[in-house]
Amino acid sequence: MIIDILAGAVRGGTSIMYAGLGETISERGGVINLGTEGAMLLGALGGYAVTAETGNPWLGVLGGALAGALLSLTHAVLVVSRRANQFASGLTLYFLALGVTALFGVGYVSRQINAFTPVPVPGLSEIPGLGPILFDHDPLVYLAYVAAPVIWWVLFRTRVGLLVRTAGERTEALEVHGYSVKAVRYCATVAGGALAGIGGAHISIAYANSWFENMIAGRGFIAVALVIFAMWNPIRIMAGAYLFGAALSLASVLQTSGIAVNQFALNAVPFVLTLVVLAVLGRRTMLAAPDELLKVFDNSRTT
Amino acid sequence: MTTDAVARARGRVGKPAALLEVRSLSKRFGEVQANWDVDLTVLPGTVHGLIGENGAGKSTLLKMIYGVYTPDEGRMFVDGAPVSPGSPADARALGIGMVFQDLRLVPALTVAENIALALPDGPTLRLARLAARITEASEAYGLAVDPSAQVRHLSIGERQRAEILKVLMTGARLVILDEPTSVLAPQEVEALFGVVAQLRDRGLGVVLVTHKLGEVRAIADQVTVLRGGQVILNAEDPGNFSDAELVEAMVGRRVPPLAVERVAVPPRERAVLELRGATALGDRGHVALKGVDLDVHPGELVGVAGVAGSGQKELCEVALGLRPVTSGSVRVDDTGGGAVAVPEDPVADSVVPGLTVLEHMVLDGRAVPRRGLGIDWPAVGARTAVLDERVGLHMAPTKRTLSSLSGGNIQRVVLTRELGQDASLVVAAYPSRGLDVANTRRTQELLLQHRARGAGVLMVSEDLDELIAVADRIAVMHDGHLVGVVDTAGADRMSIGRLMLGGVA
Repeated sequence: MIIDILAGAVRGGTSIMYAGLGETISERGGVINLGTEGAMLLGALGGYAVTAETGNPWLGVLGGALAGALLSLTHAVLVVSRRANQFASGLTLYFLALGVTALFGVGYVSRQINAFTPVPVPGLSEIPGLGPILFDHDPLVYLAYVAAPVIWWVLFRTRVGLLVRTAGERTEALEVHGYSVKAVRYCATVAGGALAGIGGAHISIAYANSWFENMIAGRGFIAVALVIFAMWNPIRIMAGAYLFGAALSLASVLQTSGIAVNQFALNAVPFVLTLVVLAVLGRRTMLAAPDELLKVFDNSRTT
Repeated sequence: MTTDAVARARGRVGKPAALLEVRSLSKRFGEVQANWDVDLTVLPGTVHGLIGENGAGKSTLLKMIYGVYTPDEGRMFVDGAPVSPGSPADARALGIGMVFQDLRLVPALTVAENIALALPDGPTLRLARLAARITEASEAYGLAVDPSAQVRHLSIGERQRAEILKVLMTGARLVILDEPTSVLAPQEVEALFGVVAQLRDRGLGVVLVTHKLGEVRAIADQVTVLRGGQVILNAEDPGNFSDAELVEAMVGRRVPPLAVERVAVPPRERAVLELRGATALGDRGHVALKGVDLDVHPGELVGVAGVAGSGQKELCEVALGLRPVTSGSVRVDDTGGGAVAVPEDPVADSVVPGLTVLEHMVLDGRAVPRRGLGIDWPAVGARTAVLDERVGLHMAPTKRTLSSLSGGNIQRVVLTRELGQDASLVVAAYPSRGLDVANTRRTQELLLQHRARGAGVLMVSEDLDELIAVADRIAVMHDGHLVGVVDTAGADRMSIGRLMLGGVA
């Protein structure tokens, strides 16, 4: 059963990891996007619809990324160009996405698709314990293994990453070297939305293999909180996402093994975990927060 | 234009071509003529001191040279060729580098990452290779900096060295230093001037913007004085001018020296402010004030010196009860009159931007003249006029909202309101920030009047000369500790500087 829970943690944590990595990029650039949940919903429906129409789940991933990017682009227009309040814009876009996906998703409820299936890695999946936990999953899970270190490398070892981090730390420093803060933030926010969209698509075309209203069920909000726990570090996002994945998979594993626990109580576990982590860490993680992001939280302080 | 150029070339026979030549530059912002017919010539291998009061047009001139503003009229030449930089990037391509007063480094990044931002060089950062280049350059220029250190953890002096190094590594031949010494300890100023001298010896041009006349005399080969946007004085070898002459050029009239009657500190009565082991957290949650013991007695002006961010702000806030102590005690002996305060950042802590000057005059906790249930505004206006007259800092018209005022004018409103009251404790952080020479002088007189009246005055300043001129004792802070209290009589700038840097006097 431990192996089942851990394998479930990896599978269930993957969507949160994509969304968390995306939000990390966005927030490193100075834009907080509470619409991540909405981008995931759009990604889930977009991915499901494209897969249903084309029969190709890889095109579905692309569709999910585009759908998520579109929502984040709207966010970027509002908060970067129009300088709207980032919290208000993000939340509004979440509710918009919730309604839009419910409306346009009706036709896809209970429709069958050619979903991703687990692809055991030859050889590695045979390892006792580790094999089923890590190497008997759908391709998006494997892609996520690579995505976290690659995004870390891009953020901390390339010029593009340096520009993103500078946009989140001190905009004057970017401007004085002739770069456009707006352009950098647009790119970071849209890239973040695309990753959240892929996370959403993972839920619908690899994890649940179905579409239903509000199927993301708070994973996007968990991802936003996770970015803070992970102190804006992609590698820590990876670890944190699997922790929340474990909390999520607990319910289904317990159910299949016949232990009677209240379903609703189990669904609350990830959120209780979120609250516990928030309470334990308190304001400590904020020491690692990008400076421009702190200005978003509190306009009067510009430490 | 051709004949003009020929004439200039003739005029320079035998002299090296000017690195930068500015001719008849003018710039107007609405009603304000910020620069008018300004000439400036910087030769290679020289240091050019640029002095002037706040609002004299120094920063407008620099921003035109650095491509931030486009001049309305006039021309600029680099190495004799006409140029018109349209952006800072253009200016840098011409070899003009600027070290901003507020330093444009990113605190969360390392020195190497900050320099990488300025040196476009491939899509990946290759930090190890860059670190080697930085080390090489830092040795060549005598600017010791650790490339892998996070800027957040560097002292102000180290940050400045990193920024200068960054400017040099981008190929600057003309380095503009905008008020580089205002936040440094005396030893750091000496080290900086060592670097400046080295740049000069290597044939670079340096423009040093400052308001400290001694510095201009010490290091500059040429001096230009701006007042009201115009060049008032341009001369070689500023060492030939006295302080009084340079001040007169800056201000437009003679300013008599500050008269300080040094009454012996009265017998130590009960202190008005008594800190015992005061420890407090800063805004980021770190310990910013560490076990400070300090007394301020009635009739005493205690100055606080220290490199920026050494705990001065927290000290003031703790003294005023605005910041809780985590251990130790704070006692204020309120024998009537209470405390008045000029905060470090009045815009953040003392001002409501949307309210008028007049409305601010009733925000000081004193009884307000009433009419029925409301405020008797005509009476407030009359009271304010008397106050403004008595304080003598000439506030902006009382109908103006604070958000429409410049930093210096906001400072005058805050100073008038606070220093116009008779309090038993006066806490003033950087009271002369943003003020011109005359108002700075007046503010110092006001603080001395409070002291003579028997109030205890605690005054933070980054200008050691100012503290030595007005304070009875100077408390020196370093990294949250109060590292020493020096009697001003016979105080020595260098030993205070050593304390500021954490050493022993």
